[in-house]
Amino acid sequence: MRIPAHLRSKRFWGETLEAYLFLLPILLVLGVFTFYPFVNAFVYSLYDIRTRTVPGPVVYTLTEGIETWTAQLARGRLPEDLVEVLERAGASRESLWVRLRQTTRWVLKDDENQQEYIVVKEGDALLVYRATTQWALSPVGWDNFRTAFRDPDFPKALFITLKYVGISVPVTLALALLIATVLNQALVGRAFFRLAHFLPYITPIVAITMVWRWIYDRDVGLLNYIFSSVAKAFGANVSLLTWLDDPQLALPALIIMNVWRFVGYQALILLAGMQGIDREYYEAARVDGAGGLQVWRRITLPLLTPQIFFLLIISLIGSFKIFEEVFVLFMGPGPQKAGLTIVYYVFTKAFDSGHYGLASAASVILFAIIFALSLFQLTVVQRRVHYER
Amino acid sequence: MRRMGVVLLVLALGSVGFAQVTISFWHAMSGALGETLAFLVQKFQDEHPDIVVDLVYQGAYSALQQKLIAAVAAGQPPTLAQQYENWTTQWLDALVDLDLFLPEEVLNDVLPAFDQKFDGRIITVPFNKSILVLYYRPDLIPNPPTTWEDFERLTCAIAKDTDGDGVLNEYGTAFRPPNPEIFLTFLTQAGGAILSEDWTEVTINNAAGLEAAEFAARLAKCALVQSAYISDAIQKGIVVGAWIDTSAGYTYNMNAAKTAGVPLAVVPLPCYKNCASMIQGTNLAIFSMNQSKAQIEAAAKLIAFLLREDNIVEWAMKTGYVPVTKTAVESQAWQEYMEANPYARVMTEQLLAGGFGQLLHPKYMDIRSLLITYWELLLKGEGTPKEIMDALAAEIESLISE
Repeated sequence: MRIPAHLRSKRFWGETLEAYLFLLPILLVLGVFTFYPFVNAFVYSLYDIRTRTVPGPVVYTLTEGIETWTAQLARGRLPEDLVEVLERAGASRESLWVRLRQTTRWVLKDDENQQEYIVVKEGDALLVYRATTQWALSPVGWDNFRTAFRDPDFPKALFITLKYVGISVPVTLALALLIATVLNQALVGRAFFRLAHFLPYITPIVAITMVWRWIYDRDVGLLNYIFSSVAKAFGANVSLLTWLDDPQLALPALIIMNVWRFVGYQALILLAGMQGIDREYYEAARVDGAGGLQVWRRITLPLLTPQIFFLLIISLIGSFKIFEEVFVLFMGPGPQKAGLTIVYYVFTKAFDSGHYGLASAASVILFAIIFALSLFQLTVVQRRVHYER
Repeated sequence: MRRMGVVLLVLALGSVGFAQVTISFWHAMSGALGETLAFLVQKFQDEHPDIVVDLVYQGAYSALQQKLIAAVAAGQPPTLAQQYENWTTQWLDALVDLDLFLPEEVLNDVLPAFDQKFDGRIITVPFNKSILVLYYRPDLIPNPPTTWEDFERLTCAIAKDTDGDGVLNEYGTAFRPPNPEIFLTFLTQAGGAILSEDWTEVTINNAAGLEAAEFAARLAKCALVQSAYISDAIQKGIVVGAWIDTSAGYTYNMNAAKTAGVPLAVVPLPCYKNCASMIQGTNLAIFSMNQSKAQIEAAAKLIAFLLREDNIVEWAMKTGYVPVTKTAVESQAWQEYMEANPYARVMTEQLLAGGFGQLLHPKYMDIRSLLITYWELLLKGEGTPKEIMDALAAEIESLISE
């Protein structure tokens, strides 16, 4: 077999090595904080996980006179026979102590050898095992996935998330297109508007949400103030909206806040795209007598599809993962769980109730949804993207 | 070179004559609370020069919880940590039986309201605890209610729709859906419980449960129902006659009332068949993973120190938490403090009258999540109390039978 020429060159290998050296730091960071947890979530989704003392090999079985042992263990003392048994198994007499007592289960520790032993009453016998207390994984097959779909909250979270994505992604994009088109005109103070639109995107999300908590406040909130002022101007008397405590309004509140947050960023990307479109197309269109709207529909929009496509993928993925906004805005899953999104579900299952396997399973399902949608976009949607050549 | 040799020699001699044990203590006490804890721990170290306590503030409770979960999973938890009961149930096997290391008189001194056993084991002692009490506006309710009947009558008399839009603007009382502890207090006062004593049967929808639910539903019609803290509403000048809240919220509620320029006072809860009131707050527990017996013994000494009469009283006075031992409550210092601070008397009386803790079922957090869901339905009148309680009971049933 002949090795291609470029693979034989020393320079090629030198440059490759150099490139990988530059990549190494970020690969390490990604490896530890992204890939390792990512793979583990898949693994954990197939296990029941809890901290417990797991018995190892049997060291000794006592069948007669177990009462003398249990009576002493119940008082936290070590029966002399037991100490001898453990000594024969390699334990150190001086460093043995009892740390846990139940009616049929006792755990001892040998400090010197960092070894635990568990004495368990099984039927009429006492069994002494070597043991370890650990974050123990027991395989449960697909049980966690089944539990997720049996739990009424999970389909609910799935539905709410889909609704949120289905509304907020197209609305943000449409508004961003509009803003970008306006900004693309020769406008006085364009630089200012660009900055103003970008600010929400770079402001920390928790700060934004805290401000919106005030905007949505029923009694002193800006939004209700505007609504009631407008209503009063028309002579109508409206009751104040409880944005954060009404299950009908919770999701709209979340959507409005996030549209506001992302619209500027998206508009800026689209604006950059618009300004990158070759002037010649516009001139040609004008020569052919095309009107403003026609130019926008037939030239701007098609040539902007790469940017639109990029934003669609990014915002779709981002929207599916919505969490912090819910957490801060509602200080919980929202009124009657109207803001329960999938990531919020994952969070409560893991950190409120300690169901790590179930939480992992839910996050794997979320991954599958995002993956499938991204795949669809990359194959089907991308065919409609015009790349300028 | 010679100087370094002397230093090394001194260090070596020091370590021979002075076998020190180092223990770590993770907590979530910020600001003045953290300073008080640090002060007490320093006092402990002064009394026990052979013990070094590595006191680590881990952030808010949620941060502490997540760090503990990670530390237990890694097999490297601290020696001692603050923890809620529902965290404790997640790592029972990793904790030490405290009665093996704490003197009997220390454990016997803990008030009966805090008695709790996990699978028959004593593994926690109460630490920073608060209890539900009644906050009320003396200008609107001169004689605060002592019974359910009074509570409903007096608060509903205040509720008003001032602008005639069909929605209340002034409220008799207030409830938070994320806070089902108030429902559990009503339930216990009516003589009910979530589960039967042996945990085999769901009893939340029996006659007592229904009575509690109906009472709550009637009150809800006169109440402000919001997820934000009630003090937020008070601060905005919203009228609320009387509401149930934790004693730990005392400073927040008082400051809110001050901002709004309204008077606010506190009394024990109105009672029904008994004067039960739910206790909240964390306990202390000792991890055995990665710890030697000497470290466990040192941590037990620290617990015994923190539960000593003078230290409990100091802790309670400086933090506003309830005193957790009999000797502390009866002490001269606390009695005098109660004379000067009516609020301290109220929470102490409430504690002695009927303090009760969380259900120690391993699935309590799942049960609590259901309680929140149905408590909200009850408060918002989405269904009759009977329908709501039956549906709740059915869900708890399927949860515990899994």
